[in-house]
Amino acid sequence: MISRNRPLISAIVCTYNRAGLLGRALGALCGQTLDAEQFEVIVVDDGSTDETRLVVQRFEGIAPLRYVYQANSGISAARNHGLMVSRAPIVAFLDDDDVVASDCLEQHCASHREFPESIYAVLGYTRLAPEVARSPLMHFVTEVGKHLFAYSDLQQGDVLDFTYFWGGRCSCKRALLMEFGVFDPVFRFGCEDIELGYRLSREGLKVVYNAKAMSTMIRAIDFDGFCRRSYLQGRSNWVFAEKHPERTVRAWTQVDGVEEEWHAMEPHFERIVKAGRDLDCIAVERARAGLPLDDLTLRLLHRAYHAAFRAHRLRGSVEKMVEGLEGEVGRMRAEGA
Amino acid sequence: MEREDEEMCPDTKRQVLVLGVYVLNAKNNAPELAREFASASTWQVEQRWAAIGVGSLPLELERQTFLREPGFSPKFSLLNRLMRPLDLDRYSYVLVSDDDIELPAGFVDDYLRLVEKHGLSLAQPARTHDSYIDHYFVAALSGVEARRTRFVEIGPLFSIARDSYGTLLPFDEAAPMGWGLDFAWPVLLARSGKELGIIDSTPVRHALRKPVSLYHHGRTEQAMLEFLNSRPHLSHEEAFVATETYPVAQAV
Repeated sequence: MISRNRPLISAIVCTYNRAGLLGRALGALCGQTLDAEQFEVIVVDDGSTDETRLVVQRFEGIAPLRYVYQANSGISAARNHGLMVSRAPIVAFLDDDDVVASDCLEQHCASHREFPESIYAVLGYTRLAPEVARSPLMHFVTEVGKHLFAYSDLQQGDVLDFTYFWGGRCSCKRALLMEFGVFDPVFRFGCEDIELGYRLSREGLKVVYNAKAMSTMIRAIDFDGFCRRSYLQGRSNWVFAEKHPERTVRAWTQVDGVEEEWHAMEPHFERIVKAGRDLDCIAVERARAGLPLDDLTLRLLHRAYHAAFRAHRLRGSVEKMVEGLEGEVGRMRAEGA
Repeated sequence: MEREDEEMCPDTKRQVLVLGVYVLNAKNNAPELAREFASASTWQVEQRWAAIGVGSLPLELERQTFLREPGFSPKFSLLNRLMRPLDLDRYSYVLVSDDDIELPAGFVDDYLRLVEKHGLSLAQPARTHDSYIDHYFVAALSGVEARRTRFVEIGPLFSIARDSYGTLLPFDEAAPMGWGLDFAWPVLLARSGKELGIIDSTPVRHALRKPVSLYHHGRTEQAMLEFLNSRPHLSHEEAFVATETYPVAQAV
């Protein structure tokens, strides 16, 4: 059910094998305060092999929804796909594990009305669902380590730089992307949003924070999941810094000195990870039982998390660096032959 | 200097006419492109190139260069001159190419197979993400084979199917460098119910020269505005929307 008229905003939700969560995300998008003619929801299925298509079908006819499918290609490619089929002048990139508030899209539109110039994007606020916030790890990555959307330093209405162009909770003018750049599909996970934001910053991109454009993350990431995520982030960081070898990017990606740091950490890698996992198990069990951690254990836990995630990021960056060097040698050999 | 091609082609394969323009005194990939076009296995490819600028013709292109212009000459006027002597109905497709692109191996076979599969009267390959890109709408979509659109660029490469020669050819020379044609073409084709599209899985790399590096931007833009003022055309917002997308088939 898509209106023939041009909507105000297109909500683009990319998903991959998360049928169990997608229904809640779509249900919230169906209940928006905007009229059905004023928005559209585009679900980009990035090659799912689960029940994703069936979940989307449940919402057809009750929401201004469009489903498109692609062979699995990563988040950048999926977002570009959604962008190309979108029809509204504003596009919001939302996550499949976030449940938006009923006025979330209306709030995004309101901010764009207030900042109509094409260079302004809008960052919404994402909180953790209560059951997710109980996870010691999720608390750490959002509030302490600030690995994942950290809002504690932000105030409503802040005008921010490209490092706040956070995918999954940002909207921008479609025309800006059509004129100056889209997501680079070389980034299958990690950096895809900040890298695009960096390119757009050359055209003057600014990100306005609207805390009232709210969503709730309903998926807790576990320890091994966050290690995997950190590793992929490290790989993407290296690619980002190679693509843009400017000081700003090298600082954001923290790639300077990774080789030396990794060589120092590598002999201890397994022990670092094991310590983090063991402490996380204890913290998770105590949280389940409603028991707090004492200060010392909490400090140890946070240090262990920090070390484990840093180790994975380093490993990702260095492995990507080595792959690049090996590829370069291969190319030189081929040219020499 | 114009030359007629007298050779007859006894091959029974369907024919495609490649029209191209290359710049003699600028770095270009025309010889490589001519080789790639000639390597098609499912199509009989006839190539007609125009050379502009001064210098000697590359050996590989001597027999396929039918037009030489020592000075600047508008691209679409040259293309019209290249095809004027021909009976276009012999060709299933006309494929127009610039000289500063790189194509994936097997391009003609793969690209035209998908153009036919999706019934596209006017089409182009997407551009790779490391290309110079004028409109990001044409940047390649990974995981997508093709999309139906309301926009096909005037270059660096596009194809026209026989069913639309009457609508689009000869090229409207009121837009001498072609600027603006891409916003007027969809209106013309919509009247006859013809489809436009982009082939994403055979992207072209356009990175050798910056666009508009060899002619005057301001004058060409002015010509485009005048052209569009006198022709029904789509706005950017109307043009840059994919109406359907078709995924790359995944191996099971």
